[in-house]
Amino acid sequence: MKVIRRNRPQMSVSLRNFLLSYGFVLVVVLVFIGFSLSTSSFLTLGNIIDMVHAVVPMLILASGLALVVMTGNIDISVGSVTFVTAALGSVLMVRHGLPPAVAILVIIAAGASCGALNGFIVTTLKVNSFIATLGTLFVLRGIALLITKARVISMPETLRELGHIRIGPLFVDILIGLGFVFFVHLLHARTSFGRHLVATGGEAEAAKRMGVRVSQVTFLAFLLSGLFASIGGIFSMLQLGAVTLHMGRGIEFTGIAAIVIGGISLFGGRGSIIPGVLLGVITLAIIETGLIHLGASPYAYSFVRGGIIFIAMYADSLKSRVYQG
Amino acid sequence: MKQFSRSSLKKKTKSVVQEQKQLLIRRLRSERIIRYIPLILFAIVITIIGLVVPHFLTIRNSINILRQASALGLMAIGITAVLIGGGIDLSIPPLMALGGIVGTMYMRGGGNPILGGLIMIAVCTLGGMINGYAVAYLKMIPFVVTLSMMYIAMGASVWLTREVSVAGLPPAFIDTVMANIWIIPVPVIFLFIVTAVVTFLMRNNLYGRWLYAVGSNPGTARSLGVPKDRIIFGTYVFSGFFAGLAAIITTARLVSASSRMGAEGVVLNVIASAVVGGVSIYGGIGSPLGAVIGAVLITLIGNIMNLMHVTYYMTLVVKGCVIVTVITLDSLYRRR
Repeated sequence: MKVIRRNRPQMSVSLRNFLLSYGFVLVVVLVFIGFSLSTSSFLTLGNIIDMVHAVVPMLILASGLALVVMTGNIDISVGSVTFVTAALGSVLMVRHGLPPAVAILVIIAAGASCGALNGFIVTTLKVNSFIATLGTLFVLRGIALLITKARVISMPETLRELGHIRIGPLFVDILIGLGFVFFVHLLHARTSFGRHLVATGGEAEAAKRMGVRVSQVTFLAFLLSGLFASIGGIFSMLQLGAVTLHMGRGIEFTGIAAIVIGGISLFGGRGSIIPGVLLGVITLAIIETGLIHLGASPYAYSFVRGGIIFIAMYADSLKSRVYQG
Repeated sequence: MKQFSRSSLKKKTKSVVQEQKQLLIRRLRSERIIRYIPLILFAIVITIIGLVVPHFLTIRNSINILRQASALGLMAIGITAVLIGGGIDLSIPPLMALGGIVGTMYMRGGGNPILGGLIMIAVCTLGGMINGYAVAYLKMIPFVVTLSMMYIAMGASVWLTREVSVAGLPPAFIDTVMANIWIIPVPVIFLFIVTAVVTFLMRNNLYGRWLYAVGSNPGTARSLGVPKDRIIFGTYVFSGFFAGLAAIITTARLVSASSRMGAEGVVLNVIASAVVGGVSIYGGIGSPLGAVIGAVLITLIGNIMNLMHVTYYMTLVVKGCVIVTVITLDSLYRRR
């Protein structure tokens, strides 16, 4: 009798741990199967490749953002960073005749500087990262609208095709995007910077005592987040063939949702780029495309997404409670 | 002998207590001054600009500004409670929009204006209760909870309205809310009264004191027997309730309800109002009165820029800079 009683809670805890760690994978699989069965157009190679193709900018952006989240901070300015850098690059290119290669370098440099600005405000001025990036979110969006004079900027025809080059059935974007994600994965899992990142997010004070340069690591994470946001912006600019006024609006929230669904804790210090971020981004993409194929009202997406974020965050808080005791 | 030593001890403790009291008072004074530096700075800047820009310091424009600021002021009071409790609420404007839309839809079908107003308040309060439950009892991160609530409320209001604004508010509703008493609009009077009452209650009521205690040190507050979870839950319900009040005023002012009432820029204004008004985002410090003054100042900035023909985008830049600057001052003060 006693043995059984003692075993029961252990069983339930391990089941809970299992569900919490792999629950989202299960959900993704179930959702995927559900959409495949209920619509005929969902499970086709073309559709899946298109889906991954469309999600490449988000994938790159989210993997950069994940680095910041791992330090226990947050960067909600990434959407504005993609907008302002893409706006800057495209205006220089279209209105001032800068060659595209140089423009791309300018975009990347601008992204890194935006990230560095965030990092400076957070680490040197010691401002809470949420409020700091909330401020830069609006400042950068305002600047971008000033630069573009609130008009849509169309890419030249030659550049527009760049976003849709294929090797066989695969888009080149997908390969490059996966390359970036793999790079960030190596950075996180195989370098001392990655270990320091995790240590900072786990317990900043302890990490400091162990000789981790916490503020330097955090600064670098923000810089990389800005950098990757601008690279993601380049891809979405090329795919769309234009820089619109709504570019990057709200994608910081989608990015955060993807990260948390992928099992990276907003409390910092836990999670992985591969498979974490990759699965998180794909999950959201599957749900969104699935809804389109089901013919759901487009007005409902934001509502559904909010619900998904809420559930993912609840799982996250449960998880951190289980780990903490 | 015994008595002597005891009395001397008493004296000693008394003097120590007095000394500490004085230290505390001095600290509080310096804190107060530093806390209101942004307010004072803005007041000076605005007076100077007001003297330069034409049509600014007219009674008509001033009343207009106050009327515009009244909804923002109510939302700022709401977020102040949450911020003092150590949380944040991003869902106030989207909830306000959702409540406004549901209430307007009810009244459009010939519903009772009083019930319509109550529906607006109820919808927003319900949203606040969900926020509060998730933060206080499910122990989720406030930023994330209210972020997803923001999404859900925005999504629901877009879904309900198909991004078309809902008109057809009964004249009785609009006329009552937008009436003038002498030359002062009702919303402004309402804001004054509410601010005074809430500020007084937060200072003197037991729950108000508990709120400050929870915000400044949750651990200590809990070990002293403050019902921490209940207080935190209460702050979100409170902010939801105030979102409902703001919904009534905003829909009446716009004579319609739309999903754009809760656009992203409004959240920025709400947070900026509280922060400029001396409410700390780290919890435990601030007052509703300060936040309302902040709301008036933020509205003024928009108004001045409008009169100076500055683009809306530049306004975003300026407001973003204001937030970061003020918070930097705040964290500089905290570090000392």
